[in-house]
Amino acid sequence: MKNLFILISAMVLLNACNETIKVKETYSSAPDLYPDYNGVTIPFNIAPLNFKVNDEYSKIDVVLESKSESLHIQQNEFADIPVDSWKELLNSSKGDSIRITVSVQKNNAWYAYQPFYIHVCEDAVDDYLAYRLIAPGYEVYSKMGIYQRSLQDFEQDAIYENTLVQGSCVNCHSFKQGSAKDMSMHIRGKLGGTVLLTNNKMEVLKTKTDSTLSKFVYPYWHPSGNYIAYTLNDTHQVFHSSNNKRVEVFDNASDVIVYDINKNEIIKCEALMSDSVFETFPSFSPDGKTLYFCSAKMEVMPMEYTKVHYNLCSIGFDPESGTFSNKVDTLFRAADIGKSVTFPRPSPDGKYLMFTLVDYGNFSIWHKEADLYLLNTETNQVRSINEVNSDDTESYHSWSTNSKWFVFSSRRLDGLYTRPFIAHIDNEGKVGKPFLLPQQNISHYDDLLFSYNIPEFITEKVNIDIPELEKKLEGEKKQVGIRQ
Amino acid sequence: MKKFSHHIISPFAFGTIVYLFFTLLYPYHLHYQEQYQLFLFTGDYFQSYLNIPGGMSDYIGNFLTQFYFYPSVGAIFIAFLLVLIQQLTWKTVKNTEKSSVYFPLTFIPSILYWALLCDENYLPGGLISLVFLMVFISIRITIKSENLKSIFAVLSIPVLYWIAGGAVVFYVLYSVLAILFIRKERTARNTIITFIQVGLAISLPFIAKAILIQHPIIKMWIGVNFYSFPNTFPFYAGGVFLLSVLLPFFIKSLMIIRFHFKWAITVLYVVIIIAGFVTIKTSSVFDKEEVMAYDFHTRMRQWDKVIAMADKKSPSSPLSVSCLNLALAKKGMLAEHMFEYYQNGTGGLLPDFKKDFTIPMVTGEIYYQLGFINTAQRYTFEAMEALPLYQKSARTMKRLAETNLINGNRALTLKYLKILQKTLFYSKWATALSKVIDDQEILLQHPEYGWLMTHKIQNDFFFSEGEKDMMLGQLFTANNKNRTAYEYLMAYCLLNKDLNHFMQYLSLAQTIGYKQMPISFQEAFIYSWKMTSQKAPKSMPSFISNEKIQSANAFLSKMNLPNASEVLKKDYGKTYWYYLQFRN
Repeated sequence: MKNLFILISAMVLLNACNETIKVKETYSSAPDLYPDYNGVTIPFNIAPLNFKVNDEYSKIDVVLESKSESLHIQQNEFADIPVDSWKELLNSSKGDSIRITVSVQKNNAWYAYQPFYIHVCEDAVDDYLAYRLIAPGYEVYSKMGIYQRSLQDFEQDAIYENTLVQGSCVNCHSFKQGSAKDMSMHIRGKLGGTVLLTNNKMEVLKTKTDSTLSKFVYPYWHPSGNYIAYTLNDTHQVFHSSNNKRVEVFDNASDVIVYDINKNEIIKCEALMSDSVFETFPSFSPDGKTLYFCSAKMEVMPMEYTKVHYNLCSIGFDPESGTFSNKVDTLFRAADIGKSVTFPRPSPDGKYLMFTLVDYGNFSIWHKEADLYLLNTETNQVRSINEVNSDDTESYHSWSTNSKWFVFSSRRLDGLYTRPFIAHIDNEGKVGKPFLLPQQNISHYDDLLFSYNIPEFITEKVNIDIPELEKKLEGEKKQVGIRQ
Repeated sequence: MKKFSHHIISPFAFGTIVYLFFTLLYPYHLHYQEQYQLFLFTGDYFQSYLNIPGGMSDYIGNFLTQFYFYPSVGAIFIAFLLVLIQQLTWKTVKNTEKSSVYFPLTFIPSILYWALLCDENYLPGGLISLVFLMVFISIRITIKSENLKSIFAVLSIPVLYWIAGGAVVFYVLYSVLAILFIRKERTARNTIITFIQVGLAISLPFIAKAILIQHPIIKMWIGVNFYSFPNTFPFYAGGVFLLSVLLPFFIKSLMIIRFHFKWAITVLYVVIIIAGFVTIKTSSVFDKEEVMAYDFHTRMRQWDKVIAMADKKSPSSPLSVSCLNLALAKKGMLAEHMFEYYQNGTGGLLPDFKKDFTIPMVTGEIYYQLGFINTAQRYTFEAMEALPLYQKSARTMKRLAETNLINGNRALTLKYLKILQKTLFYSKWATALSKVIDDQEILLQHPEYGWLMTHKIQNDFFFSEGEKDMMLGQLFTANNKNRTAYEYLMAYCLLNKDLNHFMQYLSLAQTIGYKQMPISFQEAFIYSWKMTSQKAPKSMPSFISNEKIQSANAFLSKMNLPNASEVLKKDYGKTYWYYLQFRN
């Protein structure tokens, strides 16, 4: 019995050890990877970048080396890097690169590729990423939810899933500068309402009033935590017949308002509620004194949908009194060049304003030409972020709290299912090669029939009291008022 | 020759009848269920079911459902499970009552669950859950050792709860009834154990809710997906569970028959057979089976079978009629023969979109065959998203692979094919297609994909549900050799009784190259001509036959009779004129 135990232990140990490889041939190029992590810039606190080589093989051998640490793994299907060893490796490589040498076994012979490098940045990324997972459909929706994923490992859990209230829809999650304690999201459906977390205190709001266009839609928190700018939209969609486009989503009317959380009232501003203009996608500057938004001349919809071009505008806001200035500035006249701006998002340090640029309209996720642009707030210079843009859709984007990283959703992998990519921006505004959010299982994105929608960095886990939420959804909601 | 006991013959006969029922009389219900699920042989898929109470029952149910792809195989599983339930019921009955005279009554739970399965929305997971319940009760009564029995009684509660969900409540109920009605069970130890069981059964759903916080408490109590629609409480399934547990005690309460034993059994068999027949007959909905058959043959491109079905019995529901019209169109017979069958307006040609999973699925099939690839894709996606219980569907996945292939979206096509490669019955097809995905020559030679790829809509327009005739016009304009599109356009006008547009579009028939103008077109033309012009019949165009003109004159002369609908039905019931005048 004892001998048997020793024998089994020895076999386990032998299996655990990596086979020493004898390379038959070394290729002249680096491996073609999925995901493409060759040359990416990553934070030192990111989860392991598991990958595979786009080739047929029976085993993969990977050596990861920093100046002081080395890690050797050998697996069958893909490089599944142990989290703890990876963390050590990254900590020893801050501000430096990791050299990765990959060999694959084909027909019992090993073939090595030229090494490739991953740049490890000293800037940390926020600990969590929140996003909605939803099928990229049309009018009908199935399972969906808002989830949070630890960026240091692969753990994901639900903030809200529509399994809780059958048939409900959840959308537009938003956080106060990455704070998980201050969150807004809408639950749509019979029991729906706007769920508001302020310093973890929960309220469910009834946001439609007689004198406003719709319920609250797209949110953006004021840095003080006292206000949230929302849009009010009369949104419709029509469906394309030809093969290169699927859906056209447009507003027949839209306004921007600011919700005063403490007073539970809507603050209206004439300049943001014009009958002849579509206003949408508000965002506050980091100092809270400016409200950015997109504005387009109203057209007859949907006939003239390609003529709708949103400019990037701003208006002064006084957080003390909750009042607006009279003057609207146009920061970027996209309409003049036949383009349209969506999702302006200022970096928390105030240096940049990132937005999506499309040919027309505001629903950029369905625009293959959608690309990310950066406006330097000091110079007012606008540039396309070519380092991250692809031939397919790049749309929603969000900044890390230290302004060093941004996450954006892209359809570059298959043209439909949006996936989160993270990119670094340095002090000079130089953007590194983005990397796909790493997953433990390499087939995760292939198997997943959901899109990653509205990726937002958060600094800690959201902690919603679900039983309390269930009670509040079933009970009377708090009706928002209008400031007179 | 060895004499077989009725204990062996009757379950065998029962299983055979169940098998024949689902294979010969109800196969399309099995196809229907199979197409609306996507069973994947992956660890993640398994885990997603294992994470939830009752999930194991659903997982096994779904595993079996994939075999409904071949009803003759799927029916074996159903028959086996129903016989198994009967046998397990008999085992529990034997525990309380030694006489076998009441053996026929042990078929009742199986017959009732069979009746439930006649409703396409009852899922096999519920049946598996019932099997688990009866297996656990059987194990409980099989164990002789008191200590072992006690350990099993306590441990079985969380295990049964996790694999069979709310079935555990009935298991505990059995324990309570056993103590109350079986003398040897009435011990202090058993009473304490039963109290523990009750406590566990009540607390487990609350514990589960604390862990699986994103589900409502009712889900933690029921667990298994008995019914397709989660908001429907499974009263009937619960009734069968309750009956299965009560039956042994009910039989125990019946009087012991010592004389005329054979007569008693015979009478009970007769009663069960008659009651079973009535129950299954009243539970079976053959109208639905017919619609499902039309849909299945359409999905499989078995146009001749669709037409043959209609020749036997003209369909009347919009979905069946729309399948028939598509089959006629695919065989080049729509314009010539459509009014030989019952027509129920434009809804029987292109049903309106509904946010459910059946209508968009069938209608999407029609749009696909017409060449509206984006619209077919949208309908398919919507059907998939509308599936209850957040399921995905093999049929929709396959269609999405096809529409993306035709639209040239390689990466998306491969994504869907990769998923289908993880199934049992779609894997071969997916693998074959993924091998030729980059070979345009082969794809263009494919009779269906090649045609659709070369007849794609090039000029973009918004699809308008309310203007289907315009959409069909756009499709035909994009390719004026698309005979199906033209006949659908004309059929739409005819069914909509829109003779103005019909007359406008009639001249386009030249591009199709009919050897002879189709009958329905001739009939519509003559009617329109006579209603809008006073010209003599001889001045009619040459493509109208004299025979038709005479026939039209006869019809029109009787059209205003008080009972014209009845009088004209025999000779003109299969003409467009009759549809125009007498069909709503």
